[in-house]
Amino acid sequence: MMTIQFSRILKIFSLILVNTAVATTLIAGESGPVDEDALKKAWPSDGPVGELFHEVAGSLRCPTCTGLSVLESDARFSQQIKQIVLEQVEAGKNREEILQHFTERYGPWILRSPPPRGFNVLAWLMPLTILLLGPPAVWFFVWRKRRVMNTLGVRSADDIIKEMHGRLKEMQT
Amino acid sequence: MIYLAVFIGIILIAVLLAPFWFGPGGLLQAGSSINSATELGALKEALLKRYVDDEKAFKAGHLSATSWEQRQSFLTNRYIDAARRLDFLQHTQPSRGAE
Amino acid sequence: MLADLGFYLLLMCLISTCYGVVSAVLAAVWRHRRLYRSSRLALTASCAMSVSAAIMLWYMFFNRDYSVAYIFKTSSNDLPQVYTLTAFWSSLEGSHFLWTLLLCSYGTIALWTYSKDNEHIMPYVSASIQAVLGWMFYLLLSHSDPFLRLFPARPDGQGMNTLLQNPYMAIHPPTLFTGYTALAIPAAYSVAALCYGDITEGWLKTTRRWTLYAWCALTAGIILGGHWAYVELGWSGYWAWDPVENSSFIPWLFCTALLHSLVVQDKLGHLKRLTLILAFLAFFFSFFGTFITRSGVISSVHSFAESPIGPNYLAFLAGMLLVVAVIYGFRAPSILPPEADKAWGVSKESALVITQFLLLTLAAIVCVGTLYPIVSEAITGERTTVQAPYFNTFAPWIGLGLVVAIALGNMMRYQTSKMPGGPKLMAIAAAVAVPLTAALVIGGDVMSTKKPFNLGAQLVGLFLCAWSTACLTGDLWQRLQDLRFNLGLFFSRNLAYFGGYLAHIGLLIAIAGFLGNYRGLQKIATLTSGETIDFYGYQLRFDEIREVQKDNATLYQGALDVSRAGAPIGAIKPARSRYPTSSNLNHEVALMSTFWHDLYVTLSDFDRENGRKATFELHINPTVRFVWIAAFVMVIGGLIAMFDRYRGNKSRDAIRAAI
Repeated sequence: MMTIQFSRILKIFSLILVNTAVATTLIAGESGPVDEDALKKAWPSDGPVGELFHEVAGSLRCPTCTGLSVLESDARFSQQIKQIVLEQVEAGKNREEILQHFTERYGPWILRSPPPRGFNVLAWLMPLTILLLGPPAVWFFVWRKRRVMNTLGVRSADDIIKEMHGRLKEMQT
Repeated sequence: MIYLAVFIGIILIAVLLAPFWFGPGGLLQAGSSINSATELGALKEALLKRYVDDEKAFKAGHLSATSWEQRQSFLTNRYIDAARRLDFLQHTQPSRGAE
Repeated sequence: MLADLGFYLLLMCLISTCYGVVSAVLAAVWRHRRLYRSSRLALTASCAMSVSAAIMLWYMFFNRDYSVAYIFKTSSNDLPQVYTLTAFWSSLEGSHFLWTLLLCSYGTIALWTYSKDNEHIMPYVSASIQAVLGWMFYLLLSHSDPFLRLFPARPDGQGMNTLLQNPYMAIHPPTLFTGYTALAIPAAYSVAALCYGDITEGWLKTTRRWTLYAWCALTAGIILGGHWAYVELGWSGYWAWDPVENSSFIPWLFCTALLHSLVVQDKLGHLKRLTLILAFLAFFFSFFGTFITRSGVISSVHSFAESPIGPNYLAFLAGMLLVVAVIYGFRAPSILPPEADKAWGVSKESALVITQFLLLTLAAIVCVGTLYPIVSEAITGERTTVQAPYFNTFAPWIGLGLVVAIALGNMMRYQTSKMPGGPKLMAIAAAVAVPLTAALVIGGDVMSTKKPFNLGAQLVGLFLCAWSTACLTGDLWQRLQDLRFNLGLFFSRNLAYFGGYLAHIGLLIAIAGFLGNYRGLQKIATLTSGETIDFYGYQLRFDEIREVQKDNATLYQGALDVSRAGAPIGAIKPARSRYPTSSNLNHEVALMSTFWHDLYVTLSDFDRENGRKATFELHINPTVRFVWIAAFVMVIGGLIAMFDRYRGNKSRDAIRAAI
């Protein structure tokens, strides 16, 4: 039963991929088409099951939306993913195992933030590098340099205005 | 249709060429990009002279208070620009600045 | 016929702007006033012609002229009048046209309202604006022609995207585009200052005013977009860090950093080159954002090549960057250094630099996160996703850093490490912040947050926001005290300070709002007719699904009677809507707002046979209203600061004092 569901999902999935490429000229986060027959399930929100479900569903992307997790989306595809997540949570799997399960099937694309492995480490290191190396860089380029830099003989505007008024007084007398 | 298009084209050309026959001509206001110390010195003098003239005109009542205020700030700003540029030139090229 | 005329007008615009660029450059070289006036008229003529073309397009929209492909694509016979008006910018070609139209208009305004102090750089300003416009017109004519004909004309159009049939979509795109295009003016002034080789006294006043205008428009535009998402998409949030949102947020961050850099430049003459770079980059990123969202590159690198618009954009962006970099390389050394040799140390200017650093870091992170999927796919071939969890790892820390920097920076003074009354003020502020935080915690029901880490983060964040607000207010009080509460003098001389005060308070309110949003409650409930559900102190009683016709949409409303603590407080009608041109059912969100939280209800499913059964998604979203209030306060602050007459007029002050 599981496998039938997956082949169906993959089929929809490949269709959707083609569609999103065409439809991205749209202005903002469009939620995917809603299946009129899908009965909305009351997803658990309390207890250990609810918490784990929320956490896992919140870190998987809705394949048909821009920017949303499956948790926030009620597109048909998200509903199916949530169903699988719930089944696995109830089967006693932990967060890593469930995410691993989805990564194996859809690739890391399904995760909302890239797993910090391989090339992806770069995406995580870049902000940290900026935050850590930024202050020394500011110190080096802005503060430190000013002390040694010559002002090239240019006076301040106040001094120049003073000079100007001095000259004006001279001219008037 | 084609007449309308031609008409728009002619109007456009007329508008674009109009400034060459109407309105003030001459050179645009020079800022401080003059890179000659002598010219800058002369500019400073000219600005001061205009300042004195305008002040006289204002005191004689030929110039309204607002426009005098505007001229005042305009001339001061131009003077600051020129003086700063001159300072810079004299510092980087002392020989030329001393001319 | 009319469409052909519109196309012809755009073609004339292209020719006119090309002439404008050439004549402006020559005018700059020869300092030829007549030539410059001609170039200014070229832009004015383009503005007049593109406005005429836009009016023609609107006219055809209202006449349902489906012989124009764009009108066929974005409107239909059943479209209400107001959305016929906004259908203009509901798709690529039209929004492109709107961009161009606004850039034309603001460029024209900028050239005609120049200050006499800037006359010597105006030819460069004119050339820069028209160079960008020329390319926009070229793109409009070649790749996204809104006047493209469709043969044979159809009797009815395909209809406007149903998600965009919302009042917020009527004002959000023009506001945001106003911000984007107004950023072109500071950028043009920067390029002009570089070409000319010096920043002169009048430059700052003009640039500052345009930057503030752009900032207000961007702030309003971004929040309006968020509001649209909140009431239309039905997922109970307003910000998802999606690429479109990010690409509007990056220019905002640059614009904000630019404002702070302008302040330092105004007061001390430092950071001139940084100002020039930031002004250019703010505009560059507004363009860049349009590029990554319009070219399809964001969904996959491979869809990039499908539309010719992508490579065109890329070539233009690269060209623009190259040209400005070359100008900068040659001319930057000629930008005169600050007036005097001053050490930075611990002072207000240092705080301002740190603020800029934080803003630019956030911009860099948002940029990296937005572009990473493209880079990763191009290099490793592996598709990845970067969404909210990634951004939420970093953004809150920078936000808290900004909160502290705002408080300290505003209490500091220029060129001194002394903080007049600082320690005392901070202590009083900390004391005032305790009850303020308590009020926020109780009102926002923060204590019911489940995770201890989130709870701690919220408490610390709210306290810091309250403390910072108190510090700012204390500083305002101190300044008023210095003026012996002469309010007339304060408002005539310190509008910039007062506007800044409001804008900062606005940001702090917004951050408090974001922190409150951390914790939302939700529940999904299936109710049969007459059933009542308890949800966070509310009792909602479901009646039945009713079918209602509203304009062109058919609504399936699930009426809910809401009562609180037994007392009825009204009815809400979450609905699904069906538009004749689309098979999808859209959400019509029902909101019941109080100051502290929104009750946000969507109808997710219902029994189509007899309408006696429905599934609702209920949300309690705390402190969402804070964010809307904050945006309002920030924009008002920005507008007030715009009308300060003294900023950037140091010499004028000095001359008055001297006489």
